[in-house]
This record gives sequence, structure tokens and C-alpha cells, in this order.
Amino acid sequence: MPHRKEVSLERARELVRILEAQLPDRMPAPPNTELGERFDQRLMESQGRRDGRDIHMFPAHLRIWFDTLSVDDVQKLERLMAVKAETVAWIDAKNGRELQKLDGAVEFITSSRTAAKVLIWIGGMAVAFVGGVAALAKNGIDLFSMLRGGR
Amino acid sequence: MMGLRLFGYTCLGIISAAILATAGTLAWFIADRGVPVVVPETTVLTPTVKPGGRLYIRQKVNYLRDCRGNVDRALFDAHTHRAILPPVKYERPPQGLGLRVITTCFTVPEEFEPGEGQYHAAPEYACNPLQRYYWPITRAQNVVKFQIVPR
Repeated sequence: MPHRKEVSLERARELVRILEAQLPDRMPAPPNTELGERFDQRLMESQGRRDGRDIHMFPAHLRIWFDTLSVDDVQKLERLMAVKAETVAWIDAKNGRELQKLDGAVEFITSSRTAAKVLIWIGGMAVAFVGGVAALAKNGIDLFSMLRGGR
Repeated sequence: MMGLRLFGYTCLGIISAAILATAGTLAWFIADRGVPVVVPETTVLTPTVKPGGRLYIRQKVNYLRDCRGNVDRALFDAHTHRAILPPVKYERPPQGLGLRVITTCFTVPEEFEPGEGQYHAAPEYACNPLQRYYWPITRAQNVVKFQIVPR
């Protein structure tokens, strides 16, 4: 340091400018008040690594979705991705009306199965009922004796 | 789509109703096996008959229901002879329902030999189509015994 008396005003001003310019380097690092993600993001930005491959850079809803995917879900998705190209092309080629018709066909099959179940049940009931009545009749019991008039 | 579904339900209902109605009718017919004719008393008016003679039988017959009847009748002697008599056939009890007294008369064939003679009557009744064509109401044969004496 030169002697104080030898410092001109101009020199002093220059000195202040130099000190001001050096100030950020001399200051202690500010405390890191930011939390993980944002800090990481800024860190990566500063390192020029913003290539989009880091999961924590996905939008929030996607991150939530990834978090909920189970092993089974992933397998399902993989199976879906493995669908044959022809299949995809086939579905892709269907226009709205055709898809609606397919829906109708599916519904028809479903309702047919329901109807078949109902019919099987009713038929089974009828056969069981007639069989029971026949067995009772063989033993001389008339199930409808209360309903029959006269005699 | 709604109309189609209604149509389906209607068809299902009709088919189910048909099945149930058929089963119900069948069960009604099957269970209906009350004996329509009861013979509470049988008397042989001629306890001893000669071959070629007349056998008189008087029966109290109680007609309980309007049913078709068919009675197969036959005479037997103790020496393996048999004579088939004309069956009694009627669609309805000829005199209507109620207790009747009926006297019938048969000629014992000449070839019958002395000993115990038997008159068998095997009745069969049909009170509904099922009984008419498949499963008639039957009951134990009516057996009347008499004596055939030498001429």
C-alpha cells in the first residue's frame, strides 16, 4: 500500500473502481437457500447439460405419472408398444363409423352372452322344476293339488 | 342402439316366457295323476258259472273326473285258458260324474274248465294330452274271482 499522503484523488477513485470490480470475488458465497430440484436445474443449466434426458426435468404431471407406474403397468405398456404394425395400421384405417360399428358388434356379443346366460339359467330352472315335479308325481304327490279345482 | 337393446330384451323375455310356460304346462300335466275312477265295491252275482254260461258282475263305480278311459278286460280259468273281452272305451264317463252302479255280463267260453275263474280289468285313464299320448294313469287291476263248475 502506498503512503496515504501520496494518493491522488484520481488514483483513489481508480482504486475504488478496482475494489468494486473485485468485490464479488472477495465476498463469501451466498448461502444456498434453494432446494434440490431447482438448484440441480440451475446447476445443469450452468453446465450446459439441458438435453432433456433427465427425468426431473419433465413437467410435473409426467413426473407424477412415472412415479405411479408399477412393473405391471410398464409390462402392459411394453406389450402395447409391441403390437404388430398391421394391427396399428388396421385400427388406424378405421373411420369413425366403422369404429362405432365395431363397438356395436362388441356390445352385441356381450349382450348375446348375457342373453345366453339368462336362457341357460331359465332352462336349467325349468328342467329342474319339471324333474322335481315328475319325481313328486312318481311318489304320488301332486305339487299343484292346492291349485286344482274340484275333485 | 336403445331400440335394438329393447328389442333384444323383448325377444329374451318372449323366449324365456315360452320356456317357462312350456315347463309349467308340462309340470302341470305331469303332476296331475289323481285316479279319476274308483271302484269301491264289486259283487259277483253268479258265483258259480258253467262253461258257456253267463257271468254277472255288479260294480259300484265312482267317476270323479272327466277323463278318457280304457279298460282292458279278460277272463281266465285255472287251466291256462284265456278269453280277451272287448275293452271299455270312453272319452268321458258315459253317465257323467258321480257314483254309478253298473252290471256287466259275459259269456264264459265253452272251453273253460272247472275250477277258479278270474275276471281281470286293467284300467288306464288319460286326463290330459301327456297322459293321452305318453304316460296314462293306471292303477292295480281289478280282479274278480268266481267258480266254474262242471256242466
